[in-house]
Amino acid sequence: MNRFKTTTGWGCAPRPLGWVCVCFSLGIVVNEYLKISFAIFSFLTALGMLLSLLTQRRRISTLFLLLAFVFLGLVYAKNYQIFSSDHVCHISYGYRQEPLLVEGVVVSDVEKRAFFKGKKTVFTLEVRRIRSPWGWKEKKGAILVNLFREEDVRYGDYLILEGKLHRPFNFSQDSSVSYRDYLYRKGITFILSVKKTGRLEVLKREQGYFIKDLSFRLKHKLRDVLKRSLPRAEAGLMQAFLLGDRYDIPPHVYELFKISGVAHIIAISGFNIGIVAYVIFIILKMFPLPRTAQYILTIVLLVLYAFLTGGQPPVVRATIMTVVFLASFILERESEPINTLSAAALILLIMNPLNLFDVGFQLSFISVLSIILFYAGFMGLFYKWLPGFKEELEEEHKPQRKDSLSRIKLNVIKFFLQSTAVSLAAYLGVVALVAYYFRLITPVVIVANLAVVPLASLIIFLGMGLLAAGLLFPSAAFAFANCIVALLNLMVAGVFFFAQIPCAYFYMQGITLWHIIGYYAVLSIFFLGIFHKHPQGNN
Amino acid sequence: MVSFTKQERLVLLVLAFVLLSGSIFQYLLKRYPRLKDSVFLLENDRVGPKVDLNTASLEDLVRLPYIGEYTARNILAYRAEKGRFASVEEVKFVKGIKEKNYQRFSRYLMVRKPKG
Repeated sequence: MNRFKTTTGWGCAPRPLGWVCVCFSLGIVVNEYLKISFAIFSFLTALGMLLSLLTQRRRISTLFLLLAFVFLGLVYAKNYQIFSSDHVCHISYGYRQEPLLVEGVVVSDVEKRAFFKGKKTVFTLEVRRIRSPWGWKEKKGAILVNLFREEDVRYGDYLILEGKLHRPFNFSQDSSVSYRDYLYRKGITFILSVKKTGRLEVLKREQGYFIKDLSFRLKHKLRDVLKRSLPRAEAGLMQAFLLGDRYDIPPHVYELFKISGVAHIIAISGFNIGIVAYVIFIILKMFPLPRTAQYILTIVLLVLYAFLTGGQPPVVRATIMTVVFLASFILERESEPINTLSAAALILLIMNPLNLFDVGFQLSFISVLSIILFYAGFMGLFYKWLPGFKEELEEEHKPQRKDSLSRIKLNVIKFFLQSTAVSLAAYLGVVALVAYYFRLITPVVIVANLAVVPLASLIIFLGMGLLAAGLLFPSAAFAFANCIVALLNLMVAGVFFFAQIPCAYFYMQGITLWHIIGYYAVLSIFFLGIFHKHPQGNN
Repeated sequence: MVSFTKQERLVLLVLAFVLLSGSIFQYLLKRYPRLKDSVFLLENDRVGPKVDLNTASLEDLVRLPYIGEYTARNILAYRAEKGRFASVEEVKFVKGIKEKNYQRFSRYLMVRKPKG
């Protein structure tokens, strides 16, 4: 039985969603590596459910239910990967030799990326019709469009395009990340390349969903504010920090962040969502609203923000966790972190079971899980090494203590210890995955995070100020922009400094899936053997 | 007497701090334009990972943006044939490297002077 610490002390509480999530994921993994019969496993799922319903003994009933979830994962993933006969993925090779006409609706945000001396327009198109030598044919499914010129295309436009269809290329040579697989997991099996002179006509506008359209329009307005107020490179980085668009980051800066292990800062994740939620909540607190209304408004604005940033798995994960955390205040019920994390994972896997193989999904969940499991254990170790510090901290909270200098000193040490514990815990979780996917080991990240994370928090905070000022008081935006420029450059200088430290990072070849499985097995034993003994190791 | 809540005080203090810092920073940049070189690091060639052309392996070169296996092999073949690179610019003489490509990846390359 799992144990967790509640405000009322140590109690026994099940984390049912954790096990459900593990079983469902296991089914998805088995489906990926084995050829299975859909009918047999559908039957087994139903049988598991039935046996669970009929069995009187609670443990056996739970066992059958969990088994049913393993089979359900299998069946669900299998069904997701089977495309109907009119899906665009079944298009024959003959079609791909010559340019063809495609009709469809733009279903993603439209990105204008730098391409040689000009720009290219990139978006996802939900195909409706394709013209074959025998006339128009109804088709379904999404394709990625690369239009090699700048064009005024928007989300929801119904287009007719002329271009060549081809399979995505596999760019990566020195890592386990495949661009083709990445697109396939997003439901994209083909790319349509439209030449500079290729035909493009907008037949209808506003064919998309209203909320999505609204969030993209808002995103473009915010992007314009950033571009107007900041130099080009800084605007590119801020777009990544705040809006989730990483294509304008200078490649050398991205490389620098990658080798220092702090690239997680420039992807929207729980860290960014947490700061955004905090800022929204602090602002709302200034208005005379009931507390419940403040929580509900924060939740609504966060969900809108998740839409705005494109709904990547880490963003959805962080949004769900924050929403559950805020909802726990409304409902006055304590949220359990592993259950919340599992709920977020289940929602994402139900939306798309192939998310399980997405690198962002894996890194996001494993880092948060690792922080949940190991953070307090590391804090326990630190307190052990610094005898008397915990007692001093407890003293500090007492009202009679007024020595502000020693209070500041204590808070600085506490902040340093907590940041180190979070950084170590997260690193422990992601190190093997990063080594497997990127062939890179970055020990420097544990130290780099201590400097970069607080700076990034300030930058995101100021970025939100800049966006608000840019929309409401443009004349005050310069102050935010200047502070951001100073801090961003300071951060890049810091990251550069960390990357220069000897043994800051090194590349490693030959890491296989078995090494990764071995690592996580050892980590689990480590957790059960050492950290689980600490009472605070599981909070 | 005007009194603020804790949140109002926090927001106003932060706002005042940002306006002050932003103004000082802008003033300094206007007054001393030379500061721009030291402040704007993002577009600066000095910042960023660099690989030494004289010691780089095939893997080191392939990892760099805009350099594929074909170009990397040509660079290594050139080094094996002609010896050490005297400068980054010399890489332009490698087979298959054109000015346009050189402009893209030269910022990731360096040539360390031999010790002694």
